[in-house]
Amino acid sequence: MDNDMNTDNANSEYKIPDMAPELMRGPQWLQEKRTLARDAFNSSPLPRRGLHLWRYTDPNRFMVDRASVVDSAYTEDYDAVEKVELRHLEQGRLSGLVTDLGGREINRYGVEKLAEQGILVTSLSEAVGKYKVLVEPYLYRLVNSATGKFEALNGALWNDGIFIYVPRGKSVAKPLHLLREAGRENSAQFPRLLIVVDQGSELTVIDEYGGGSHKMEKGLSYANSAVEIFGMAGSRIRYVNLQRQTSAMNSYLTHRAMLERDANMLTIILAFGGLLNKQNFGAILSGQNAESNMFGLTFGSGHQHFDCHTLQHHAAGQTLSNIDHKVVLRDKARSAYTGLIKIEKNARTCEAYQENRNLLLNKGTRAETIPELEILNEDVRCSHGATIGPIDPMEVFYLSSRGIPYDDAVRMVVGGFVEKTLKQVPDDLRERLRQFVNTRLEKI
Amino acid sequence: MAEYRKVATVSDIPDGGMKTYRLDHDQIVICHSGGRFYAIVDECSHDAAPISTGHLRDHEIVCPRHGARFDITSGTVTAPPAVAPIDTFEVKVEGEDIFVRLD
Repeated sequence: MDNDMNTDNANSEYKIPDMAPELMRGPQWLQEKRTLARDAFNSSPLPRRGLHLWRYTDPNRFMVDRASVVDSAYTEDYDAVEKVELRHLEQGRLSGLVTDLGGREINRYGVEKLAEQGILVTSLSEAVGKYKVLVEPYLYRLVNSATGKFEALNGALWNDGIFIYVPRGKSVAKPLHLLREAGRENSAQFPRLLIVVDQGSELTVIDEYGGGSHKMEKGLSYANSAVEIFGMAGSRIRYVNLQRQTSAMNSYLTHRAMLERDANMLTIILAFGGLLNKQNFGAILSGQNAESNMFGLTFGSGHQHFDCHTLQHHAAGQTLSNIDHKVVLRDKARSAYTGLIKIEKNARTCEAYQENRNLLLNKGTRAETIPELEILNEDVRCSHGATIGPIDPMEVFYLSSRGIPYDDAVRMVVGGFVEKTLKQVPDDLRERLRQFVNTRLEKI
Repeated sequence: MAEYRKVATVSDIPDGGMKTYRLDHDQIVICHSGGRFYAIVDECSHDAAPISTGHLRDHEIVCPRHGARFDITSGTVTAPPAVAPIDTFEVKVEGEDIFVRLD
């Protein structure tokens, strides 16, 4: 008989100690911000179950007692993944590769050519000292203690992260690949990413999160990530977030992008991995004619639990946002999607669209979808739509009757379901994304 | 052979009270009513809200979101808007320890 029992109050009383070594890292201004984040975390209560955004996910499961975790090596699988990306770099398919091993070690490959153009791709710990003018005005501006308790936890305890700066008029057309690898069981990591794309510049980033514990019995691993992106006037940003962590990992991520006048951003969310995965993606359209498009694909199986929130915040008029979020679930997987369209009173003639479609492959899965509209003026065009339904047995039967094995037939139907989203992705990114999708589909 | 796991002790949950626990992949709530203990999945079958944030009335648990009610002894619905039952777990008490059957 196993007496080892996890209660959901295991870590809920955790406080960051005054002498936590992370609080002493970086220059004085950063230490002060870390301390403020620590104070905010320690003084704020855990979000109450049932409240907005926490209705379907237990916040206790993201509480990490820093004192109880161990620094562990990355998983053996990582070497293979790194080799693949290094080969892509050699073949000229990437403009650079950055590896982030649990925030303890940041390695950069092939970024010398970018540096010649003044494009900075560096560790955040180096940037806070060397490029203070470029970092201090932006770090913590979009994801901070005011965002929530777990954002404060990251703000206090992040060890190292990645900083990308693209100066005015420069272009990074081929993807810059960021490979973040979590440690094994009982590890905790706090990845942080800051991107600043100056006026009229272009950047494509693939932000991939992998690794984690392989056996629940040995212990989970935890990640609490923060992503801040600033798109200055006329900039064009393409950001791909790929989540393929192991099935014994709890992961929390908050992403915010602020887009100035005429800026354009494409965000692609591929949520495939993790045991418990809570993500919060947001675009703040702060300048006229700014545009944000988000495409999300979530594939869940086993006991995976996904909780995704998106924010389309129109702070300026004549802005456009669009979200297409698709979810496929099988076994006992769960998904909750909450999407908020927020349009300020002065933000007139905006357009905002939101669509969430959920495909359930068997009984036992469950999906929730909650569209939210907070529109403070009447001169807008908005729409939202949501569907939840089982896979059509006639479609599977049709394919099976032509000799296609059942599992392959299901994959084909799922492939068709997500194809509409993939078709909207720019040509040069589509094949790369299709590889990510197909790799996950093989396990569906 | 049925596997039981110890989740709590009798003194943890006063009569008329309930407490949540994590059981592998399931979040469960142990209810103490009329001197007996019952275990159900902590999720309303109507909109998946944590039903433990509601309240217990004798052998009924009431979801705080939309007022759905369930019989904690069987998981069956006793008041809408829920229509599907909630999964229950067999409970046994040995001395001070409360065990829940896993399979």
